[in-house]
Amino acid sequence: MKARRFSAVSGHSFLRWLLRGCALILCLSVGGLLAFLLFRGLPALGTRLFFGDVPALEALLGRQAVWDGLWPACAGTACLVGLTVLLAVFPGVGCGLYLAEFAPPRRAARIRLAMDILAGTPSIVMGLFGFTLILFLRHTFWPGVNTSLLLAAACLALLVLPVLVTATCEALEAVPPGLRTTALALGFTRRQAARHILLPAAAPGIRGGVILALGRAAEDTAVIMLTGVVANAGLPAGLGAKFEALSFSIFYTAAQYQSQEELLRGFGAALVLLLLASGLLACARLLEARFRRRWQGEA
Amino acid sequence: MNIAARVCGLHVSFGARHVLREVDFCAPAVGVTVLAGRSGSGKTTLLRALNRLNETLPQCRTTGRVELDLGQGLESVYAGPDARPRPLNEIRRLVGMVFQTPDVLPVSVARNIALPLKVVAGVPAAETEERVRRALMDVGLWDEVADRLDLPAERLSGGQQQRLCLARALALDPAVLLLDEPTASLDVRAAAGIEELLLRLAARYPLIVVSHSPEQAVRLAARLVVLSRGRVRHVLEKGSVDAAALAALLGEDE
Repeated sequence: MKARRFSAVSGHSFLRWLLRGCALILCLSVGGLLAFLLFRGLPALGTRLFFGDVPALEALLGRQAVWDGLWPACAGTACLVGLTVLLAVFPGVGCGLYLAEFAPPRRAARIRLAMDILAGTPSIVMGLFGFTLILFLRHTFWPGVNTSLLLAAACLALLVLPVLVTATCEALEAVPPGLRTTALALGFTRRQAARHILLPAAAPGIRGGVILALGRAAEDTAVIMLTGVVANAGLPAGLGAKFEALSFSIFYTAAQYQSQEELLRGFGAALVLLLLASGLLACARLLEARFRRRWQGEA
Repeated sequence: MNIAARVCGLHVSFGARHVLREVDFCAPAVGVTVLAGRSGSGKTTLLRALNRLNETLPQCRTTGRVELDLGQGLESVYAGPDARPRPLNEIRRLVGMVFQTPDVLPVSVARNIALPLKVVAGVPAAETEERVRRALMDVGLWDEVADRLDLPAERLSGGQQQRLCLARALALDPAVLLLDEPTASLDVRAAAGIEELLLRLAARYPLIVVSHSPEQAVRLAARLVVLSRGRVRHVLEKGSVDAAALAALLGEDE
């Protein structure tokens, strides 16, 4: 009896230590990654990294072009990510809402299958798709068209769509079923219940999906490589223009660097990308918190 | 006597499971009608048949007639050959419902009442505040929450939450109130408070209350409908039965 209790206790503590170890692996990896990036990237961080020899204010106002810094790539990535989310959020959340609340089961299963196929598509294939689309358009009814910011954002939007749909769907399915019954019993129509009760209640989960999509759009290189990114374009001049992006700068520097200084700039770019992604995450969180307070009617 | 609800030959099944068979009863326009029975006797299903909430569950099939007085005399709630009911959401708005466990929305106290008012009843924003106040006063909650209207409703006590749910139903100007064991999840004191409130409201609204406690049923009921295995076994008027006799009736077919 005593021996069994002892083995149960030791089994229990073993499991606890094992799980603690798993958590430790995660923390160590993140810590190591950050430390490495900071160690290599921080020395490079400074106005020179962003603007080269151009005065910062001149560059920020767009009065003088930067050819030797990360500023155009930062602006390009911000535009790209913003445009991608703009293009993907409405169809993504809408499709998730339809799947979770309105679609008949058989149709939902078919849509889910399509979603799974899209989710399994490698990003390079998505890039190829964009590239061939442009070729097709050029040979048919739009001869002047070229790879551009808009095309890259559209292909990225397609890439992150399944993330948004799945997140919305799961967030809505996690809403307590009692809340649906309550809304219907109060006389809400299904559409009103979805808009005024279920979507707001599912907002944190949807935000999670948007953040994942943001991160994915910011880090992806394969799609944009074939759809409009270049190593030197200056600030993005419009939806139809070529652009620079941080992820591509990192890739390009890592592949082509010729001096130690250039490599350090690559690390600087990686650090900047990380900071940019964290900044976007913080913005998303802030927006959601504000929206939540308004919905809940709290002061 | 005026009638608030009339049910004839009601039959409800979920898939192959028959929950109600040939149910007939009337609820008077004034006073509390209590549906009593042991668990599994079909009380809740009968209550939910009145505002067609059973239809939100899978494979539900309802036949028979259910008529409610929603302000213009008795009218059919279900579509039939000679009946074209109002839109479902309007029926449900006019039939207030309170559940067994308080189901406050995950928003503030005031917004719990204001949101349905705005969305379901289309009440203009200028009137909302006054109607929220009036509803909270109706259930005796105003003094307790007047300075906490912006707090999450989930922070109220169980009894307060249940009264908030009742206030939310009252704010929508219901023609009938349905309550599904409204005191089952509350402690004795909170339950007594709710019972008192129900008796007060019974002068203004027809109330149909599900209860599994014979004592409570006898205290509240102007009319008692005793259900067993999906059928109405007895319909009793106030004063014709005491708690012990009712308990015996409920245990009869065990």
